[in-house]
Amino acid sequence: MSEHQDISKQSGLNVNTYRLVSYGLVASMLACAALTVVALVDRIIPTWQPSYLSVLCFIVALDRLYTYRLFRDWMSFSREWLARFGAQVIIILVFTKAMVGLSHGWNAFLTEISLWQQNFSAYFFSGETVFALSMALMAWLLGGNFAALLEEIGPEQVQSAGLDGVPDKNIPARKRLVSLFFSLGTVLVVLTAISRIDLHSVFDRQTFSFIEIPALAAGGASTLLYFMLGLALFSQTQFISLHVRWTVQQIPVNGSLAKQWAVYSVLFLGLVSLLASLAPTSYGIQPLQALAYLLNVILTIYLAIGQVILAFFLYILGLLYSLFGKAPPAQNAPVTPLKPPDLPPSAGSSVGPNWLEIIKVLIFWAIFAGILFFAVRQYLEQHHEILKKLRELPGWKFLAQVWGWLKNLLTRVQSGVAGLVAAGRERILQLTARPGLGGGFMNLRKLDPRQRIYFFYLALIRRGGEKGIPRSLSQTPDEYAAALQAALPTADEDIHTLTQAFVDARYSRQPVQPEQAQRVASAWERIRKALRGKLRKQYKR
Amino acid sequence: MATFLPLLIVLMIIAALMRDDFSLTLAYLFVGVTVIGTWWERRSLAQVKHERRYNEHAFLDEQVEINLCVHNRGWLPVLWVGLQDSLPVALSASPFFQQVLSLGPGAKVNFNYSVYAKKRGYYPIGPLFISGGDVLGLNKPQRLENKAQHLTVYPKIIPLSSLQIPSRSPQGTLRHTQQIFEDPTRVFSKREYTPGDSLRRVDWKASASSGRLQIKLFEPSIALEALIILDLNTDNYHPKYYFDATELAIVIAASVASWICEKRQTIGMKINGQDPLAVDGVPPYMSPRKGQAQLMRMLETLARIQIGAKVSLIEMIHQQRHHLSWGTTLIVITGKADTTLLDELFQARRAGQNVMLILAGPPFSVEDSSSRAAHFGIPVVAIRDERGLDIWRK
Repeated sequence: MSEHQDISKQSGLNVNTYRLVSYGLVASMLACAALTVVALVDRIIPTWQPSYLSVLCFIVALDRLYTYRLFRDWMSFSREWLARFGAQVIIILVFTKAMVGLSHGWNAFLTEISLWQQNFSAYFFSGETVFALSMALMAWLLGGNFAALLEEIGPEQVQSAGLDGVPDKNIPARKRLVSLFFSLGTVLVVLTAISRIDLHSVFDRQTFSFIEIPALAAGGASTLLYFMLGLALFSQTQFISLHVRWTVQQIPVNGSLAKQWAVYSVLFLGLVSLLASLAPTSYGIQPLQALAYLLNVILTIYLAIGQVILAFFLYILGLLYSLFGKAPPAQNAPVTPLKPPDLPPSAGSSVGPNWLEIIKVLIFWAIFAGILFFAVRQYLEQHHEILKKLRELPGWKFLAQVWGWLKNLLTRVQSGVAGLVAAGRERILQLTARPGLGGGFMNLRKLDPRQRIYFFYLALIRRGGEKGIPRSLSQTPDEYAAALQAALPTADEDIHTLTQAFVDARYSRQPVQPEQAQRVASAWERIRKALRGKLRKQYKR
Repeated sequence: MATFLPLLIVLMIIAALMRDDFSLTLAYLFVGVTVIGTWWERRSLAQVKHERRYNEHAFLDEQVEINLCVHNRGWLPVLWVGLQDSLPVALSASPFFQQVLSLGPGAKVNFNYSVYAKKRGYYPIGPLFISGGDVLGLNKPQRLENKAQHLTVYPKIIPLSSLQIPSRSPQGTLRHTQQIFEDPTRVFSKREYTPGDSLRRVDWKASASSGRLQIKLFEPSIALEALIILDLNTDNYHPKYYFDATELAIVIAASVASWICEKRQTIGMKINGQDPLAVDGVPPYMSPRKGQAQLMRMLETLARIQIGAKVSLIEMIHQQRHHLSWGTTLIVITGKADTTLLDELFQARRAGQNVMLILAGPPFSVEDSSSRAAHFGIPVVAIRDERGLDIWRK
C-alpha cells in the first residue's frame, strides 16, 4: 500500500482530494492576484493587454505546488534536483515566451521567431517577456511558500505525529498561512486602490462630471475573488487540521462530515459575500471624508511637530556654523508653511433632509462603531496584559460602572419586552385554544352533538339576557323557557324544542344524534330572529 | 477579528484617504466573516442538547447499556460538534466515548455504548464535554461541560439458605433450632392428645373427624429484628489484605441483609466507613425496617461505601445498642476481635441483645478469637473468603 493510502486509511481523509482542492484554490488565488496586477498595468499602459499573465501564473503556480514534494525529497543541488529544476525553468521560460508571443497573434509570433536569429537575447527577452517572467517567478515563489505551508498542515502530520499527538507545528503553520495570505492581500488592495484612483480621475468633459465607477472595476473583482478563495482555503485547512488532530487522538469521525463541511463553508461564504455587497458604502454626508479629514489633521500635526523639531535643530546647527564663521547651510532654504487640510464638503443646506440618506449614514456609523467595538474587544480578550493595565487607569472604575448600569438597563428592558411578548402570546393562546363553550371564537364542527346543544342553549340564555329576559340562578330550564315564551310568543315551539333538547342532553345518558343537534340549530336561528325582532320593537318604542 | 485587525486598519485608511468604496466592501467581508462565524459557533453550540438514558443501578456482571441522544434543537446547523463522554475506568475498556459529527437543523442522533458492572461502587458517568468551533478557525474551539450522572453497582450477594442467628424472642416468624418458643400461628403437624396437654391446643375439627382428641403442633420461631454493624476501619483488618477483607465484609453484609429481608424480617444497618453522598462523609444510620425498599437502601449504601472510618467500632456499638429494643440481634462484621470489642459485645448481650460476630478476611491476630468469644458466650463465625459462606448455603 502506498504512503498516502496508508494515511487515507488511518485518517479517513481522501488525501488526493485534499491536495486537488487546496492546490486549485492557491493557484486560483495567485491567478486573481495576477489579474489585479494586469488591471493596474492596463491603467498605466492602456495599449498593452496582458490578460494571459493570469493563465501563466495559474499554470506556473499549479506546477510548483505539485512538484514541491518531489523537490523536497531531493537534496538541493544534487544531480536529480538540478536536472528537474533546470527542466522546469526551461519549460516555464519557453511557455512564457509562447504566451507572450501568441498574445500578439500567430503571425506576429512567427515573425518574432524569425528575428531571434538576428539578436536572440534582445528579441527573446523583450520587456514584455521579462515582465511576464517576473510575474511567473513571483507565482513560482509564492506557490512554493503556500505548498510548504499546506504540506505542514496536511494529512501527513498523522505519520509524523506518533503517539504523542499532533505536534504544535500545525498552529504556527496556519498562522503563517494567514500572514502570507494577508500580506499578499494587502498589496493587492493597495494596487486596486491605486487603479481605482486613476479611474476616479477620469472626467467626462461633455457632462462636466466624474464618471461613476462600478464597484468591482479595475481589479476589484479579482481582489475580492482572491480574498474569497483565501477564506475558502482557510476553511479547508481548518478542517484538515482538526481532522488530523482527531485521527491522532483516535476519535471516530462521522463519514459525512467532510461533505457537510464543504457545503456549509460554501453557503457561509456566499451569504457573507452577499451581505458585504449589500452593505452601504456610499452616502450623502460622506463620513469617510470626515475620517480622511481627521487623518489629514493628524498627519499635519505630526508634520508640524516635525517642522518645529527640524527648525530647532537647524537653529542649533546655524549657531555652530556661525562659531566657525561660516553661513548656516539652510539659511536661505525656502520654508513651505503647512496648510491645514480642507474641510470635507458639507451636505447641501438649501435642500431639506433626505431621510433615506440619513438612515444609510446611521446604518453605516452603527456598523462602523460595531466593527470597532468588536475588534477592540477581541483584541483585548487575546491580550489580557493590556486589559490588566487598562483596569489600573483612574477612570476605568467609572467607565465600568457606567457600562454595568447600561447592561442592567438593557437586561431589564429585554426581560420586560420578553415578559410582554409572553403575556400577549398567552392571551392569544387562551383566546384561540379555549375549549368547550366558554365563548370566543369556536369551530362548531369540532363540537359533538351534545356540546352543540349546550352551546345553543347557553347562547339562548346570553341573548335573552341582552334582550332584557335574564335567567336567574334559581330558575330551572322549564321555568326560563316559560318566561321566554311569554316574551316571545312567536317562537313558542322553538323555545320548547331547544329547552327539551338541552334537558335531554344535559341530564340523560342517552346518546345525542346529530339530527337532534341540527333541529336545535334551526330552532335557535328562528329564536334569534324573534329576539332581534323584539329588540327592534323596543327601539321603536 | 484580531487576526484581521491590521488589514482592517489598512482598508479603512485606504477607504478614507483614497475615497474608495471597494475597500469598505472588503472590510465588510472580513467583519461579516468574523462576526457571523463567531455568532454561528456560539449560537449553534448553545442549541445542542443531550440526554443520557441508562439504568442507574446495576448488579454485578451486568452490562449497562447507555444511550446518548444528541439533539440540535435550533434552526442553525452545527458545523461540527465533538462529544467526549467520560466513563469509569473500572467498568469500561475505554475511558471515553468520543465522536465527532455534524448536525443539521433539528437533527437528532443516538449513540449506544455500554459499561460492564465488574465491581461494586458509585461511578460517575460523564461529564459529557461538547466542543465546537467556527468554520475558519478564527476562534479557539469552545468546550462546554455538562454535569455527570452516576451509576450504582450493587455489591455481590451470595444466596444463603440458612443463617443460625441466635434469638431470645418468645414469638417470631422464623423457624429456629432451639425449640423452646413456638408460634401458635404456624401449625406444622398434629398428634393424639396426652394428659397434660393444654385444651387450647386441641384441634376440634381433626378430633371430630378422627373420633379422637388431636393436638396441634406449632413450629418454633425467632424474632429477627436485626442490626448489622459493618466495620470498615482498615486498622481492624490484616494490613496486607485489608482491601480484599473489607470487600468481603461488604459482601457478607449484603448477603446477610438480603437473606433476612427475604425472610420478611426487620433489618437495619450501621456502617463506619465513608459515604461520598453523605454531607459529612458519615453513612446514614438505617433503622430496622422490613421490606424490599429497606434492602435496596442498604444495598445502595453498601455500593457506595468506601473504607476509612470516622468513628471507632466500639464507640459505634456503644451508641447504637442503647437505642435497640430487647432481643434485637446484633450482627457485627469486622476483621479482628480484641478484648475491648468482646467486652462491649458482652455488655450488649447482658442488656438483652443477641450478638453474633463475623470475622471477615484472613485471621488478623494470632489470638484465638473464637475461644475468647466463647468465653463471653458470643458466637463467632470466621469467613476467610467467599467460599467460607458455604456454611450457610447448605
